[in-house]
Amino acid sequence: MPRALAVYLPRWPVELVRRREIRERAEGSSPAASPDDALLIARTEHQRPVVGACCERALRAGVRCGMTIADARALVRSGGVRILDEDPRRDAGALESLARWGVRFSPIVAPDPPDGLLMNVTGCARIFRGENRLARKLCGALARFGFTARVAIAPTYGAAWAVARFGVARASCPWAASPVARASCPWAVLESSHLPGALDPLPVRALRLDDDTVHALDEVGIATIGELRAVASAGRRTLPSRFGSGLLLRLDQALGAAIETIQPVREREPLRVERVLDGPTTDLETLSIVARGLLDALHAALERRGCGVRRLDAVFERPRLEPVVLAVCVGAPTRDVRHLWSLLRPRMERMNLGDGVEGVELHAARIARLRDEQTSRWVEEARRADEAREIGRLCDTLANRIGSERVLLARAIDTHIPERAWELEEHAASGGNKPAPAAALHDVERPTLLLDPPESILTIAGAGDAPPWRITWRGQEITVTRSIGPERIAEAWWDVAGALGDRSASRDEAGSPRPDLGGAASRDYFRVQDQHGRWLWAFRKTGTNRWFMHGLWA
Amino acid sequence: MPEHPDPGKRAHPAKLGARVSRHPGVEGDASATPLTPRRLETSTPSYVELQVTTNFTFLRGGSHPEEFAQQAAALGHPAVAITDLHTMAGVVRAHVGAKDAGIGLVVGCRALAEEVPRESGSASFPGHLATSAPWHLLLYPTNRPAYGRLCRMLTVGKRRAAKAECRLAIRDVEEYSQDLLAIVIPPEAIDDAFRARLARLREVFDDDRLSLGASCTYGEDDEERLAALDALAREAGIPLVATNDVHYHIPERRALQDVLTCIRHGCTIHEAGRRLHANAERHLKSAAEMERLFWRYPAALRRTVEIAARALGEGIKVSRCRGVKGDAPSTPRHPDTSAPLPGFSLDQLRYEYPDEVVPAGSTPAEHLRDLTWKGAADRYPAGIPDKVRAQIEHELVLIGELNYEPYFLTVHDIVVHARSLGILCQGRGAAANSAVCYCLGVTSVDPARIDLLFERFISRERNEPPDIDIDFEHERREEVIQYIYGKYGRDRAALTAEVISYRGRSAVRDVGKAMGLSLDAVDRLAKCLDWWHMGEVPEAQVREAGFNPDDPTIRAVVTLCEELIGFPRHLSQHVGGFVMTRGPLCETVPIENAAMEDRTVIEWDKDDIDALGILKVDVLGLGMLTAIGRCFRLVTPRHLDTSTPFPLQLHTIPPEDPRVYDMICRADTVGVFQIESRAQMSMLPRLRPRCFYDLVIEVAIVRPGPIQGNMVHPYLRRRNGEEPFSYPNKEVEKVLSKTLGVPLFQEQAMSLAIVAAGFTAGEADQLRRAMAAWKRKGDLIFRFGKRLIAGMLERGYPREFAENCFEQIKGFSEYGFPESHAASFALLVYVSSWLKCHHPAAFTAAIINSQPMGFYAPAQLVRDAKEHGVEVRPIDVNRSAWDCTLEEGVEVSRRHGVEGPEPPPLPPRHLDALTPPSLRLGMRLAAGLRQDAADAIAAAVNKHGPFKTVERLWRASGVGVGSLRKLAAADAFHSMGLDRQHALWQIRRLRDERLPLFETVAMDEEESGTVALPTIPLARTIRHDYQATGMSLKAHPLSLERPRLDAIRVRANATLRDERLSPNGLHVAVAGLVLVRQRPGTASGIVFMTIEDETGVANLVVFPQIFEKFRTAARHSVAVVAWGRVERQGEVVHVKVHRIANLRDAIAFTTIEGSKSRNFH
Repeated sequence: MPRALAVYLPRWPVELVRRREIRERAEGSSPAASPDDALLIARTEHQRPVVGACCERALRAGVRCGMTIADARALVRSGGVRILDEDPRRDAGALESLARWGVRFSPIVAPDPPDGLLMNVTGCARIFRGENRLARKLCGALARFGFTARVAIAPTYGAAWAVARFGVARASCPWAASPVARASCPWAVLESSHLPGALDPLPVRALRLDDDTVHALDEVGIATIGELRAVASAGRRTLPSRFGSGLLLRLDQALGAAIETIQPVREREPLRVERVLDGPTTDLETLSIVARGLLDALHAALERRGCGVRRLDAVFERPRLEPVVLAVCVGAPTRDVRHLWSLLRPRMERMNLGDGVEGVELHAARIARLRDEQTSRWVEEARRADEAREIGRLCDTLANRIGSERVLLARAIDTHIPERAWELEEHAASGGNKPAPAAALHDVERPTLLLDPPESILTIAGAGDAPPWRITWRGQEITVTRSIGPERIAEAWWDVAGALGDRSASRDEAGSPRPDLGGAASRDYFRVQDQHGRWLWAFRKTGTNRWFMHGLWA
Repeated sequence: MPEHPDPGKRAHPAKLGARVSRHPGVEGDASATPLTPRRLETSTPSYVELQVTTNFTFLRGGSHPEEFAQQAAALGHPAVAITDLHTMAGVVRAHVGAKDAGIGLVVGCRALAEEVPRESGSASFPGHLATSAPWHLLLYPTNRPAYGRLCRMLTVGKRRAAKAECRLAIRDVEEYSQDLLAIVIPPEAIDDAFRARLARLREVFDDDRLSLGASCTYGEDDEERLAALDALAREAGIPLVATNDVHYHIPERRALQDVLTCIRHGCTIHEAGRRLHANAERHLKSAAEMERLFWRYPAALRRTVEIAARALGEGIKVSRCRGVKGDAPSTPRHPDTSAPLPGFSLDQLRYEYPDEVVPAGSTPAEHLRDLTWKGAADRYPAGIPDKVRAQIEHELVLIGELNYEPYFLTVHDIVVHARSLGILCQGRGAAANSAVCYCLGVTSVDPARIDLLFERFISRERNEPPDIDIDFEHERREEVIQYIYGKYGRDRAALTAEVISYRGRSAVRDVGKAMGLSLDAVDRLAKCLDWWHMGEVPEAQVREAGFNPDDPTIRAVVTLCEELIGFPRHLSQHVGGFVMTRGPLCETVPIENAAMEDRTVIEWDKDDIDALGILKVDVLGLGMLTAIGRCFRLVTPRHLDTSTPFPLQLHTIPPEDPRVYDMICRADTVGVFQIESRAQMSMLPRLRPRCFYDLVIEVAIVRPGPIQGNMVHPYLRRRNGEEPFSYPNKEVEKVLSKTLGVPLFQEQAMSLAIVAAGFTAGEADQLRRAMAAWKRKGDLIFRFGKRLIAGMLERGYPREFAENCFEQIKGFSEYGFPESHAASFALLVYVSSWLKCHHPAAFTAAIINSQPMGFYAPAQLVRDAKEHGVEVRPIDVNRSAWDCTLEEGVEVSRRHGVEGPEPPPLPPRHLDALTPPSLRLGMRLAAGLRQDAADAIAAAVNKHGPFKTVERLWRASGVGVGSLRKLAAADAFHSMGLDRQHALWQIRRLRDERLPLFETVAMDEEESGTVALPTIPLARTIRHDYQATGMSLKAHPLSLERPRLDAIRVRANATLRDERLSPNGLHVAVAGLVLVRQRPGTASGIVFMTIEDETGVANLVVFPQIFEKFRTAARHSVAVVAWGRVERQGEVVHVKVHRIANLRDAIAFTTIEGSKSRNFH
């Protein structure tokens, strides 16, 4: 009889988060997360957030899956509480990785979503000197990752699954009451002879049934596997017509009367193409032909996977020397051979060939799924898409020549405040964001050069919102010949809300707790022309006599 | 700067108000030469803001309409306009506000008209093919018919759109344009298309009524834009008019307006960007400020005054004569006697009663008199008592004086129609408890039984329609509503609106989201707002919720919320306030579609209607009337004694039955109207009502108002003779004597204000309004309070008495209860008590059939019925109908085994007539079952007789397997000898998709040898009972736990009743299922829990600290064990809890998940 192993990870989503945070803390990138906080994973049920999973501490405080977040929060009153939204895709991805890791215990491992693994360990026990040791080793390894796990080895997947989750004794609350957990022994090994006996007291849910079936069985008084077996042996024919054929299949699978197979994970091959040359060569032309050929091969591989590269490593093996690694980064994933070649080729020209290169390898170091772009029906849109792509390529080229940290993209920001109306970001960090065309930045008249910060100036001006006559800026005397304005722009009161703290003093004096939200300062901007015909952009803080120069038109 | 003064077209400022007319020379001086800012500073400018967006343009305007009126008056403007987008919803408030402030109100609206009207449902084009921007107009009527046309236009636009939307085409504007003034708001870019539009509008409105709007809000280049607009105006021959596109009355509201913009766009303030206004300039500005901004264009400012003057009808003499076309008779320029009054004000709206309630050839007065005396003869078959006769005469005279006959006739008409459909109804409220209304059948409270002064409700001083609310059986109210629509037509009858305003929670939720708080944080902050009071930051609570109250964002949220609370958010329909008019209603106020199908709603709410004196009849639904109606129909004549007339009617129930009052005094009132709540029940044994008026007091006294006003205990003490009392003088005695010197009713508060503080009747009425609107305008009641106390002191009352009175009146403000309502309710209390007392089975059946209603779940009602000796029989497919029914005779004993003998026919009807009927539970109690399935089963049983197998029932009735399963879960197959388990086992085999060929085979293939199913323990059976029906007739879940409860010395709840077993102060432990958790607002956080075991209920009092300490158990448990101290007060017994635990934790109890407690927070 085959041997099946089931892993159950009761706190999988929570521990994944914990593990991620430990890593982030080690990297110093997660200052907010405190390991002492209770952790709740929220899921939405009937349009309200409920607890999908929770940590040990929350559990001790009485939090249970399915209660509303508000209730759970009320229960965990000491210390902080952190609430994260569930991320089933991420969890599933992690489970798949874990399954791949599990290959060291058995060649046949399958993820068992949402929170378990199944393995075929037939014949594997010998390597680990017995199934008990295998199970212990597996538990220990998972514990070192920070995962609580329960493991069962049984003659069938069904039985292993049932025992891993529901223990070997019947209990309404499987974890608190099962003897396995109580003995703090997180694994169990079942032989064929144990089979019906060990399963009989378990609830029917342990047969991997859906909620409806469990409920339907409960209605007619069948609560345990034993009771189900009794009914099945008295009138096997009566069951499928009432509860569907799946029920008997699950029962048979658990008891070994039906065969079950699992779909094991496969290791992904890396995207890597290489060619060993007949002998070392320093001929750049030869290397170019080889590299170009490899690029075509890589393109084919990428196409099969539907991916593009974000980073391409070109490795040139040199005898007795470290290989040369040329890393080519692009802003948006691509598998366009010509574009990649145009980035790689100039780098090759500058590399040190040493005594010659004897092998070339191209490695898609970072790949990303490449979505098929829909070509637009509208000419204007298509033109804009082309434009954006061209700019992206230009940036790639520039970044590979002079370094990506030196290529900056302007991004328009929707705000009235002139100095915040755009933002620069590194090309590499833009993640393929389309750069903002200058026209999109603003549809209002703004100077071509903005002084940041604005420079304080002295002026002579009329009262109220009258324009200035005379300006002293950087020691220069400016006579205003024409002026347009004022354009009044109020500052962001919600940011000034930060400045409300400053006002707490005045608040205490006034004895009023009302923050003055309407009172955020404004600026009155004037476009002024000086005696040389130059246009300048000056503003006055409204209600004061403080003036600033903020920009000029070239 | 060029200037084109034209003295002929200037408005005469003198027409607009005394303030301006004091400077007659100003206009001439200013316009003689081009103006300079310097010169203007010395003059008295005049300006009227004509583009005002109030918060009735939801999520756009940042101030209330009345705030604009006040601010405009403060700035010295002679008038202000209200131009909300496609709505008149805010104009009444603005009208009232403007009247208070003593300025004029220019009624108007903003309209966005499309080139072609889009039909609803038509797909919109993709963005790049979008139709051109809508025409943007401000419209102002210049007389009453024009106002009617404007309202009709909006109605047309609204009726063709979805709720809260309006779809106008420029054709509509053209059609209804007569006598409307228009300002066209130019788009961002002035192009040829706009020039063409101007030309077209000029054709419609000509240059006399059309203006081109120009604003100066500190944009990029205002000067250039103004110059361009001026040039355009001149080119098109249309005068320029200045507006400021006002969105808030003071600049400080900018933040709130920004937040509203965010709420509208569903974004945060950080993302909103240029969707916000660039600055805070869109506030009301002073005339001087406007003149400074428009100093080059003084004519544009004069035009505002001119438009306002024409809209208000005071500038007609100086309106320009140029541009009058001889061939345009539709716009009369020279008003003669037949033309409508020039100018429009909401005061011109004259309400006219519908006239079809009066038969031809009769006057309303004659008809009412006729009906009243006819009704009186019916009501008093033994002859009309003299007192009543005199009262009717008196009332008829008063009604006649005020011309209210049509109102009473309208109400009468509705009531008569409802009665003809067999719908139970009763009027209540101000005028309802009059002798006339009794005779008309509007109420059933015999005026001989209660003494209410008619003048108190209809007074000569207050020229305001009387107020009658009519309650109908709630399940049949829709029939009445459709009757009204049918009778008066949709253009003459509509529901009033209800303005849904921001309350604490909704405000925090929206503001928090807009300020970028996380959803979770918003939730927490909203929660701690439960205890917020306006005007103060609850620092402690904010801190407890995990926020720093000094955090700027939190403080901004709190401040903005305070401003936002009270802002209208959307219009909803009033529960039942109907407005009916003689002429088309849509020419008085726009009508829009409601969310519910077949409903149309006007834009004004009941305050607006009151302010304009428009008739409204409240058509309300009342669950208890449904129950009483059902009960009347269930009671058969042979269960009535001969003295009670059949069929039962509200006014023929035998009055003043001592057995009924005995029952009420025992607080044996589960299910009874109003007095069934925990608070009422604990009051009953103390108050011991013995007559009808005692019930009136009972209904009024146990309400938050009197409780907060500390009136309950003084009244009780005085009633029990424990406290002496006297009155300061005769007048006060007259007001307060019937309630022993304690003002319990709203009417008394008002009378007291008149008698003791010298208020006029009108002022007393304002006081009533202030009390009702306390939440919205908190300071108003304190203003009245000061006057009240001052008035009383002046008249020599002691200060203590005066302050006491005010405290008590303030207590009403929240939940004051008028005596007239209490009297109508008290009658329903009496009737329902009478039914419960004499016909408990029918009463219980009727209440269960009317669920959801009242305080108690079916389980408690059934249990109560059982305690009163009613035999309750379970749901059974062969016996039950959808509703609970009454059965005569002895139930056939349950048979076991599938094939049994035919059940014997029900016993013949020769049984003793006094054998009480039994209650057969209806299939409606089976969770999730639909009525049509139950009806199909009942019909099949009727046709074929009782079924013996599930299959036959299934085939004969044709109901789905799902329904059968739900019935089986409710254990309704006992008459077939099947318990739940076996019934479900059989039903599991059935499939709805039938294959005719195999049908017989499948059915005949009866399982050889039945499968032995596991036995289900009783506890689980009971759990399933609770899951399926919310109750179990088999056993109480707690009875199964009794041995274990005994082991931890938990006593039965029944022992609490016995004073010897549970003396005051004794420490006890009790247990039970939680029936009700209640946290009344008046009890400072105390939670009242009612728990039930197999012997009865226990009342727990849980103080906040205890509740918090044992929160999990106290808040979530289905069943609890509580330890505490017995507190006895007469027959009322509480357990003051000091420890509480989940029953399961206490004794490792298996859960009873099916049972649901009702939580009232």
